[in-house]
Amino acid sequence: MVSGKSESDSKSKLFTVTVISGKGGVGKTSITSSLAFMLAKQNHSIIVADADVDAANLAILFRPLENNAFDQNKTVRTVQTTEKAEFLPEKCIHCKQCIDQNFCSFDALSWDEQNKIPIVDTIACEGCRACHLLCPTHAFKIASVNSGTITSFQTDYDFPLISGETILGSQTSGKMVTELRKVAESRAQEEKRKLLLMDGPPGIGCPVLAAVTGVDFVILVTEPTTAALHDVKRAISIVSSFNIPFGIIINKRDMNPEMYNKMTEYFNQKGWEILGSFPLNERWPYAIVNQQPIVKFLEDDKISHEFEKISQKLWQKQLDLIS
Amino acid sequence: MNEEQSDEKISSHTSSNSSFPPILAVTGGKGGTGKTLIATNLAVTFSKNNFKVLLVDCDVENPNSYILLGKKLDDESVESQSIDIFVPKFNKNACVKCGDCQKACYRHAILQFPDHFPSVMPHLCSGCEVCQKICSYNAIDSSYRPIGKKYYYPQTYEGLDLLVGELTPSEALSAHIVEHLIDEVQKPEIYSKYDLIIFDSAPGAHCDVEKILNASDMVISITEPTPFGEHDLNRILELLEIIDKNSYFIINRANLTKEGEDLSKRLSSYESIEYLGSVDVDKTLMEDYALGEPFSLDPRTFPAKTQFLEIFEQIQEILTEEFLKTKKSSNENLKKQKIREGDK
Repeated sequence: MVSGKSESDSKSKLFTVTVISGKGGVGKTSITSSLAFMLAKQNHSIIVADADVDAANLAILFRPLENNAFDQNKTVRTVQTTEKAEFLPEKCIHCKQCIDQNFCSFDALSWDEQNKIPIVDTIACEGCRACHLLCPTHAFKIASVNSGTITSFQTDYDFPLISGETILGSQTSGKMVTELRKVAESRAQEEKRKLLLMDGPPGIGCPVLAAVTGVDFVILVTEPTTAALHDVKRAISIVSSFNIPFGIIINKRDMNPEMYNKMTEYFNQKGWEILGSFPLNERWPYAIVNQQPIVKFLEDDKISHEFEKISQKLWQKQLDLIS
Repeated sequence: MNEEQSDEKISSHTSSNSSFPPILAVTGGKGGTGKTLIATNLAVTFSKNNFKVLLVDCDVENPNSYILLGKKLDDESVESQSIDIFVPKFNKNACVKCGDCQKACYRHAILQFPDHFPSVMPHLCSGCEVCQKICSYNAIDSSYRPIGKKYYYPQTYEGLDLLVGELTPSEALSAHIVEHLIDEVQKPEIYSKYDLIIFDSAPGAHCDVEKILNASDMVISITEPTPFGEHDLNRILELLEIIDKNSYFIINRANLTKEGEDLSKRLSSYESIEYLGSVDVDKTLMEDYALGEPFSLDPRTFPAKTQFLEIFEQIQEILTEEFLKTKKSSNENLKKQKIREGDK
């Protein structure tokens, strides 16, 4: 769950920024794509990663126009971050201790009455080794299983994108995020890139913790609704507990102007930095349909300007840190 | 997972008591597609139609159901209870410092230096109890630490009770809270009170979501007409295939792009998923959302409400046909009529 970043810290000076929100669907991926586009346009050397490994969407907006080229420069690696129990029938003496003595705390063992053997539910299995350690005849072994893939490719916008996706039911989102960060960090090192921009998962659980642990800055995206405010506050409580500096972007600000005012007032009162805000734009979803970064597709001066402003602030934070 | 296992899972909550109410899960993959919006509106509409409903908010990282119902969890009728997990407590009188527990811990949550007593780093501990189970000296006692809370909010609306699970920020074990909620509704003193249980799931397709879908009888996925919505819904469909469940889907904000119709056609071609209808972007709905009022109870007539009520009718019909022998009709004690169809 925890990324081992500290070692490379002094050498690389890679500035890592993670975008989270608490609530889903407020615009994390749209905003990340546009910030990446803008930073690259300003000739900054960046690398981008999609840490929403359960619903990885960032690559959809950066799919290279030439599909052949895409396949050529793409590397896919399978990662094994999970271990699962495997039942070895030849060793079983049908004593049923595994069930009667509740070896498994995760409800992953059930009893097959007909064959008098246990069944392992591989989705529920946590790989805790209890069955393996406790079975008197060692009828369970623990084996590594494929937990997901990490895909790296060069986008058409002067930066590589590293995207992770878990295999369903592998129960390993947090560890996948940690793996993904290692891949992104080592590529950044190789290519001497200065800023890693990561699109994070919704929520505040294990994968979010893995995506913000040890990063230099967190961007919180929210929208003016009670639910989004509630969720972003929970996300901020995590970021604050890690002492990570953060800034807020308010999306769809005219969705509820009254709430927007209340929200900004609250953030200001707390002394939380508001990096910028965006109005509702009905053409925004069409950028996703057309698989392009929002700012590129919209060609809207005001929106471009706002992204430019936020990108500059981000880059300045990177400069401040290394100086 | 093979069929035998999934049958076993289902029977764990159905065979023991034939009056177990059907569980309907609302999910979708992508965040912000309207899962909680649909789940809360289904819950209030079913309760308005004289169903006794328990809505369970299983998005424990960010529970929003009560906000969309315009309620607060500090209401005096709300009962809250801490959700705890096991954490080892080392008994220094019995411990011989053998180091077995430290070696056995797959989360590396136990620290032990040579010739010292072991200690635990609680945030890394998953509560698996392996250390306690393997200790040959019975030197590990059970201790518990809170990782979240559950809130029981009776009569949120007439006929609608709400159960909310909430993970404490900085804790990682959301799945444990979800399991706790699932166990809770399987208690006879809980489920016997209801005609219908609705689970509102987290976004994503991870273990929390898998557990909920596995425990449900009917799954409704909410998506939006964008490649993001479609991509993430496809992950849910794959997951449903693994756990061998069919699903229905609703396209929310269907007129957000011109892709809505194409998407419904594309998805309908899948065998495992059936289209229930769509709900358009609607100004009145957004007003209600901002006020924390379920739009389906708004006395005004507006397109999204009409669309939603048509979808509701279909769901009610499916539930009635599949799970409830007798048709639901108003002003009757429905609990007595409710008999689960057969024994799976």
